[in-house]
Amino acid sequence: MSKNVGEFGLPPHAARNKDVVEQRLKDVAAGTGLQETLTIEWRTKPQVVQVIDMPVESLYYNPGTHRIRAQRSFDPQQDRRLDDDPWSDESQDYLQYLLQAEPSDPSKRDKDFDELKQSLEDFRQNEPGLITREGILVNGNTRAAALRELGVPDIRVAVLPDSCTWADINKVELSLQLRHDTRRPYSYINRLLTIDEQVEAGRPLKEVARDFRIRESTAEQDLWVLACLRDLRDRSTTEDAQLRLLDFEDAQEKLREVHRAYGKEAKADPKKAELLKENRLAAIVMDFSKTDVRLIEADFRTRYLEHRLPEELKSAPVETAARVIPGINRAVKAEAPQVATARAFTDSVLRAKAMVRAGAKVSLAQSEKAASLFKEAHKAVEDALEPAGKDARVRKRKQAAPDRLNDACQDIEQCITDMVLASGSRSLDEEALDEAVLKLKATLRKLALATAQSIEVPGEGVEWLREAVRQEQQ
Amino acid sequence: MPSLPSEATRRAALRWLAELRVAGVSRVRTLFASHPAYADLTPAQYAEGLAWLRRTGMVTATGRPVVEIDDSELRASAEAPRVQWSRAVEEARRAVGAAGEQALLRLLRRGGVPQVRHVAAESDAYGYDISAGSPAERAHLEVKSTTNPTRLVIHLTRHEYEVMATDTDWYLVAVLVGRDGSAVNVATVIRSWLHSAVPADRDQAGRWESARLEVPAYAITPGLATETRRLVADGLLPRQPVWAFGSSTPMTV
Repeated sequence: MSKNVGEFGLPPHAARNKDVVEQRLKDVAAGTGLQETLTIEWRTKPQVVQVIDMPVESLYYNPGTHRIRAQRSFDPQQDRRLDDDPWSDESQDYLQYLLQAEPSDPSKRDKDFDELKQSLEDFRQNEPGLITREGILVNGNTRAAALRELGVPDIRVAVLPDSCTWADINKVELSLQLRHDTRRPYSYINRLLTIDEQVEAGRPLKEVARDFRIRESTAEQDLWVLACLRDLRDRSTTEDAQLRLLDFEDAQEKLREVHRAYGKEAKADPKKAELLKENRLAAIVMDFSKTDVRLIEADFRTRYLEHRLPEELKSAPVETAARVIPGINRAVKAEAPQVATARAFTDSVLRAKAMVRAGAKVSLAQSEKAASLFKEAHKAVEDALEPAGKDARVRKRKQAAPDRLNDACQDIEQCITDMVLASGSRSLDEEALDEAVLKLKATLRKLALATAQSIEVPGEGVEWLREAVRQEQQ
Repeated sequence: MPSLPSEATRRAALRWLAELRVAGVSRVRTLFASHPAYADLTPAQYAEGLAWLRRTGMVTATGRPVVEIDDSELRASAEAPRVQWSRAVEEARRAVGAAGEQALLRLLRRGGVPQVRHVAAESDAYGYDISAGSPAERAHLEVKSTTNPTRLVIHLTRHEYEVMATDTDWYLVAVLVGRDGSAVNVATVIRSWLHSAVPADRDQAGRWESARLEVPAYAITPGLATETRRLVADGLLPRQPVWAFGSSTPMTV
C-alpha cells in the first residue's frame, strides 16, 4: 500500500518530543534574557518563531525533505522501507546516510558535507534549524546529521506553530531552501580590506577570522596578499600614474598560490623565496594564467628569462647600499643582487602597466613607450615560459600546437584593436607593421611546410593553408 | 529482598524494554535524559539498566528487545500493584500464557521426554498444564508465563495450590516468553518457598482464591529441575540470568 506523497504520519516519540519542546518554549518565554527568534514564511505571512535547544538525537530527519528526494532511489529496498516506516531506526539511518552522501553519487561521501562539519566544529552552529513540535526537522537536516557525527549533544532549532501540517512543512522547507540567495558576495579585494581594517582596529586575528568563517591561517594569508598588493601598488608609481588595488581583483588564486609557494620556500632558503615571489609577481602583473605562473620558480630568471630580455629591461642591478637602521646605527645586509634585479624587472613592468592603464593622464608618447616595453617584457616572459614549462607541456603536447595557434589568433585580434587605436591617433608605425606582417607570412609558410610533414590527411584548415602557400609560390 | 539501587536499575531496565520497541538506543537514551517524565532516574541508573539487559541477553547487539514487555507491567512497577482488568490486557495475558505452554511443550518433546501431554487443553481441573514422563517418573508441570525479565510475578490459584499440596509430582515452571513466542528462559520455583509464601486463611468465612506472588531470586532454580531430578538436560534449555535482582547466587532454603 502506498501512502500519499508527503504523508508520513507521526514518529513514535511525537508526543514525548512535544512535551520537551513545549516545556523548553515555556522556559524560554519565562526567561528574562534576550530571546532568539527566526522569521519564516508561514501561510503567506512572515511569522516570528522561538528558538530553543533540542537534543540532536531526539529529532527525526524529515523523510519528505526535498534535499534528498532524487537520491532516495539509491537503494530501492531501503527506499521502500522509508515509505512504509519512515521513523524506524533503519529508515532514519538511511536518511542520515543520504544526507552525508554526494548527490550525484550516493555511494561516495560528499565533500561539502565534510566542509559543513568542519565549519560546525570550528565555528559552531550559525543559523538555527527548524522543527515541528513533534521533533521532525524541517530545515537543518544536513546540519543535524553533521552535528550527530560530531557528537554535539544539542542543536539550536526554531519551532513551528502547533497547527503545522505536512503541507505546511513542505511549503516552509521550500521557502527556506529554494529561496534564491541574492546577496552578492564581497569582492576579493574588498574582503581583504575589511579583514585588514578589523585587524588594524585592534581585534585579534582569530576573532576576525571567525567572523569571516575562515581559518586563522587563511586570514594570515589574506593579510600577506594584501601587504603584497599594497607594495606592488606603491612600486608602480611613476609621475601621475599608479596601479590600483582593484587591478588585481582577478588574481586571487594566483596570489594565494604565490603565498603558499613562498611560505614553503622561505623555510629552506629565504633568498630563493624572495626571488620566486618577485618572479611570480611580475608574471601576475603581466596577466599570465595560473598555470603559467605555476611554472615560475626561483631560478626562472637566470635559466630562462635573462637571455630573452631586451636590453632596456636588463637594467643593471643598482647596487643597493647597505641600509642603516636609524637610531641604533647598525647596518643590515643589502638585498642580494639577484633579488634586486628581479625587483627592478617587476618594477619596470609595474610602471609600464600603470602608464598604460593611466590613459589620458600621461602623454601619448609615454603611454606608447610603456605599452611597447610591457609587450616586450610580456613576450620575453612568454618565451621563457616555454622551456620552463617543458616538462609540464610534454604531457600536454598533443594539445600544445593547436593551443599555440589559438593564442596567436588572440594576439592577432589584439593587434587589430591596437592598430585601429593607433591609426585613430595617427601614430601607427606602418613600416614596423609591414615588417611584422612579412614575418607572419614567413611563419605561416613554415607552418604549412610543417603540416606537410606531419599531417597526412589534411582537414579543411590545413588544406587552405597549403593551398594559399602553393599559390603564393607560383 | 532486592536492595534499593537495584530496584532503580530494574525500573530503568523495564523502561528500556518498553522504549526500545519503537526507537534505537541513542534516541531512547536522549529521551530519558531530556524528557521530564523520565527524570526520576539518573542517567547512570539508565545506563546500568541497559547494561544489565545486555548482560542478560534481553537486548540484542542491534538494540532490539528480546521480550515484548506489556504496558501493564510498566505502570504497576513503581506503586503498589493494582488490579486493572480490561479485555485487552486479559487477552494479552492469555496469549502469553498459551505461548509459554506451547514453548515448553516444544522443549520437552525436543528433549526426548516420553508421553508429553498438554492436559490444560483438556480441562482446568487437573491443576497443572502439562503431564510428562513415564508412569514411573511422572511430572505434572504448572506453567507460568511472563514477559518481564526483571521480576518474576506469578498468580497462583487456590486449586493449583491444593493440587500442589497433595501431588508430589507437581512442579511450578516459569517461562520467559520472547517476542517470537519462544522460551527465552525456563526456571523452576522451589516448592517449599511456595508453601511458605501463600497466605493463610484467617477465618472460616473467608478464604483466598488466587494469590499474586513475587518470587525472590533464592526461590528460583534455573532449568527444569527439582531437588531430586532433572527433567530435561540443562544444555537443551534456554537459560539467562534473569529474575535475579539483588542476589547473584541463588540461596537454598
